[in-house]
Amino acid sequence: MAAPRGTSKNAGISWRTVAPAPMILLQGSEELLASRAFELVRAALRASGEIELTRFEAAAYERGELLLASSPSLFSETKLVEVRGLATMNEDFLNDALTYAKSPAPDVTLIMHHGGGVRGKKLLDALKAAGAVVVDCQPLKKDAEKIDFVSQEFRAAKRKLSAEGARALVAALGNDLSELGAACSQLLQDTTGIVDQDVVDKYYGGRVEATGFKVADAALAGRADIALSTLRHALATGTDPVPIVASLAMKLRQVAKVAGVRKSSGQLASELGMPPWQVQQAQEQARHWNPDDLARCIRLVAEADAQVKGASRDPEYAVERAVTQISLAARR
Amino acid sequence: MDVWGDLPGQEKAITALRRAVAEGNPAHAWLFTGPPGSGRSNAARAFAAALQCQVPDPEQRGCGTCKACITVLAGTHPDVALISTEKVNYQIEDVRTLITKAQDRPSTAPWRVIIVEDADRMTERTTNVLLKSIEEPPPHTVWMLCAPSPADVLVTIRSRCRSVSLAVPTRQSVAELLVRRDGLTTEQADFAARVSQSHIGVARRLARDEQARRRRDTTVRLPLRIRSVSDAVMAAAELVELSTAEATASSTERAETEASSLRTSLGLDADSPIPPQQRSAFKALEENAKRRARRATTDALDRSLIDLTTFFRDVLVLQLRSGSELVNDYLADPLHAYANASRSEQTIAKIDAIAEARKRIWTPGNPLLTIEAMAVSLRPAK
Repeated sequence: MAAPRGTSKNAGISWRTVAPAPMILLQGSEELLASRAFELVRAALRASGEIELTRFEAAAYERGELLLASSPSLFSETKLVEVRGLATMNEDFLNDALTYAKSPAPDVTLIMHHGGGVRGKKLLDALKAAGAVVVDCQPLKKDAEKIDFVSQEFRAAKRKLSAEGARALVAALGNDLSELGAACSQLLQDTTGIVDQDVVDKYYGGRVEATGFKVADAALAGRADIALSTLRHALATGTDPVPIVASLAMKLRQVAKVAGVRKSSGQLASELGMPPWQVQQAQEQARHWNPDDLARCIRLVAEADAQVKGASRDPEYAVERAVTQISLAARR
Repeated sequence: MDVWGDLPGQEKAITALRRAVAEGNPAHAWLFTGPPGSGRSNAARAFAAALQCQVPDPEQRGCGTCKACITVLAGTHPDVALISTEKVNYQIEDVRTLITKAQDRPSTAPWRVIIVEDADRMTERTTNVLLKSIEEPPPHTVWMLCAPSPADVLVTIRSRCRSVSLAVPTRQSVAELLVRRDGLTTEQADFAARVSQSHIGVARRLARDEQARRRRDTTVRLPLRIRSVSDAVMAAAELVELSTAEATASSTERAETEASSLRTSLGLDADSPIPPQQRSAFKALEENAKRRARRATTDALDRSLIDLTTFFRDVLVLQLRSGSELVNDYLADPLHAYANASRSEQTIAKIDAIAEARKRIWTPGNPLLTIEAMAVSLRPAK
């Protein structure tokens, strides 16, 4: 369990304010923040002279390596030791790190990332007791935190981002912080001046809420342009074709159930066991359809379903074809 | 009563098998082929019984009264193994154990017989494991494979086997068997044999089980109710529910029993947590149950689709005035009305749609969607 941010004493300092220290512990599962913290420390040390950098994976660590890496250098360079993956550390690392925490070597910066979980809790406690700097790398959950992250990115680059722009960016890409970070750097490099909502829309518009249901709704309403661009966004953001076909099938099924039935939505809702809003939506969409097209499209989706589940070599083409045909069959 | 008595309408195959028994030196591998319900595995079992029969005169073997005959037919003979699968396909591990078993000498009888039911339910990889063993089994081992048609097994297997093909038994012979063996009345037996299209197993279930009869009736009447797309989608949901409800319920129940008996044998209470070391055993059990459930529900659905086909088959018979008997004779009036309202090409298209659905339910696709796609094709043409 991640400690709630800002309430616990152990939550640690923000990664933006991290500075070289004998021992630094990055705690939290957000890889992007951790790698930013690694970079900051590295850059700060490099700014003040030559450094000798050693990297370890805590899971593949061999006994004695830490001692070797932290023993004084012949050329009296500053030493930086980066250790990743403490959440899966092996016993050797645990023992060596515990010993090291008792007597940290001079002129060495040891920076470690622990992604979360209970593995190595003893070491974490020992590090904290020994005065290690704890940096908070917990995932950003609230939109406000993400908006804050985006604004800080722009501020760090001395650029302006409007409040609407920040909100639009988070709405489009907020699910994945590393994508959000990448989008920020793309906007910073590609544009000049103030970044506002128009600019964000130009780059990431339509990406908002690209789910299978949005695709299905647009297709059944006969809006081929919207359906296809939403589909492309959904596929590009990693939605599998299978659930998209499933939502097409479900929407068609709902429309088919209410098509040509002259009953009120309330009556239908209780007969079909569907919520009234769903019945109303289906009735609304049914106006675009005639029975033969509906039948043809149900057959088409069944075929696409088989194709995305292995009958075809190109599942994305199969779902795209189904979406195109459905959108064209629906009357605007 | 000898061992061949329960094979109605297979006189030709029986003559060949009797001759093989009398000669006393049977081929080392046999392939029994015939449509579902023609009694492939029963024929294999009867042949195995005749081979193991203790009667001294080779011409008279297959008496049906000696200990060997009785135990083979009951499936308890130590040297006759009857292998079947409850899943969609045989697992390769199961087949590997078979091969080891085939090397053993028979313990009491002259032959070690291995009967593989549904040999068509083997993937190519699994079948290849069998090849060597089927080609050169030890001198006392006889393999018997069963499949709907020779084309259903790999050509490499086919060429190593002597083939026995069974015919579709006539309705009369199936009805006679049901009367004689299962003690049904003549009308019951005749009806069951007719609507099951001479599928012996299905006929018996229909004759005995009131629920099964009602389910079949609902299924066959389904096309009469489909008028619009909306009807079709509703009917599809009903058909899937109707055919799979029972299979799902029984397989869930069986999975629960198995899990609780595994708990008992591991010494766990009903609500104590499963220790991490033993989780894989439970996982394997679930996995198995899932495969079985899929086979059971798909089988049930497949059966319903066959029943549905008989409706359109009858419609086609009426439209073409071929004069053949109707399978669903009791629905003659609605069938005549339906036949007059449409043309034969349309009926054939509908039969094709059902055949397509039968093929597709065995693929990973969503069964409800498959049946819906079929049902919308069953709408009467304008």
